[in-house]
Amino acid sequence: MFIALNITVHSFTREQSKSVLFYYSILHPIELFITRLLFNFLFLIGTAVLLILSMTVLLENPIQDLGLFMLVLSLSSLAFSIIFSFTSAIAVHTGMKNTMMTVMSLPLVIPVILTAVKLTLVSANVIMEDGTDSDIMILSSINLIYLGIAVILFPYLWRS
Amino acid sequence: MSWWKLLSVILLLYVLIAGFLVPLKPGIINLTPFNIKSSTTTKLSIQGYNTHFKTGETTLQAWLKIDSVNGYKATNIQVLDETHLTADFAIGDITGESRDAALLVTNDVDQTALLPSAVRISKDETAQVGTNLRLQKLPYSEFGTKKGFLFPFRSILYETVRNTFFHVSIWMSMFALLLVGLFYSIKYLIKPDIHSDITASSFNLIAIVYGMIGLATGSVWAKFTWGTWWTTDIKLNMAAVSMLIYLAYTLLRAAIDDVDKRAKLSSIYSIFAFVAMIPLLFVLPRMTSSLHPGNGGNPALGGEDLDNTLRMVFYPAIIGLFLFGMWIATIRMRIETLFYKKSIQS
Repeated sequence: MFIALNITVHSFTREQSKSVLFYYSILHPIELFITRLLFNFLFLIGTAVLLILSMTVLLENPIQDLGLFMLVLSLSSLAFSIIFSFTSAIAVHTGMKNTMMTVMSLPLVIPVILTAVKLTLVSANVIMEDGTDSDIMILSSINLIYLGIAVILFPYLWRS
Repeated sequence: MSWWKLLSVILLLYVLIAGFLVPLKPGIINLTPFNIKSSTTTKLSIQGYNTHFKTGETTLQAWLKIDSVNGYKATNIQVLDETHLTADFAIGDITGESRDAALLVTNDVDQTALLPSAVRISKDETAQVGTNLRLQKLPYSEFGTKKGFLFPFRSILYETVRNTFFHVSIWMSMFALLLVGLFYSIKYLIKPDIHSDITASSFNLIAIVYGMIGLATGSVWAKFTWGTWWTTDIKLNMAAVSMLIYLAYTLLRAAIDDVDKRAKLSSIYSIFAFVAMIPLLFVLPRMTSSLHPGNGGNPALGGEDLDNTLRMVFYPAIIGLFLFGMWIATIRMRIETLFYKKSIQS
């Protein structure tokens, strides 16, 4: 049950962010990128929290370790927002935005989803796992790497 | 004709010929029965591979290695042919419920062939005490490995050890080609010049083809060693994901018509893709358990697995494949340049 919930969180928020993203495609470099990223991040977190609340009300809450869960949630939301912000910035320049967006971002989010699903299962006590620290490290370092490279490359996208 | 094109052809020919024709060292592939009892004499039939039991019959010895010092020596060895023999082992008392023993067969022609965990000796409750006398010191001075240019014999891998030259080296040369592509992508962003973009895209394209071949050869290897074409192993999945990322790169290039815009966007994306690929291929698989060598506790290249005879073919294979890829990339660059010139004129 919880895997399903987690995946719905992911897919649902992804669809949402995708449609919202295209509303902005003018204005100037890094600030714009950061603002957009923050907006996406908050939006993702907001949706996820709403979803968790409604799930808790309607069904029961299987999460044992809420701190870990929230940490994973925010880290993976951040990763999603970086990836989607960046790929959508590239995709708006092409003829077929939606297709290109999906094609480019999907492989990039797979490792994030895999790690996040595993950690969420740990937080729900479905599986026992010792390596949570290293998994969180993986998520944070993926975030850092993606963020760094996106910030470096983003100004080049806006030069034209 | 440039010297490196010729070199790549020579190296690849050498890799193909040596990689397929050099025989393996002698080894043991089968031994029955697996379960034997302590304090009894058991007849074991042994099947060798590339061995010369008949030729070296006079100096033939077989040992069951119990620990690093002691073992049981076979008596009454009967050689059936070059690769089959039966031998009687008088096993003494053992400590503990059961223990695994390795089999060593040695003669002057083949030197020593080893099968780790060949038999499981279980304790026989009715055994008489005192049969430990049958343990003898292993004659290490008589053991050795066969000299000459031969590939090592490894259990499970057997002849597929040759795939090292194709699977492993094609991934490595793919990575080298991607590095060249990355270099030219960065160069394009610093100083927009359409030729940098053409170079980068050509190198990336041939690297993608290499990656596909890498996946295919890995799949064949997996079929023979793990028994399945594809498993949900993290290294395999991440390799497939990184290939998807680069396939998106080719799609991105195909989706944009304007030459300069395509050059810029694809340069940006390819840098992003390369950086995203590094944690996929080299960090994630190392953090979790994986069947694939080099991850999650499995030994990687080097050490015992990659011995000097393998190195003599493996390194030339990497260089040869890289140069060959470079050759194809330059041809691709010439085609792209012609298309570009044509698009300017029209």
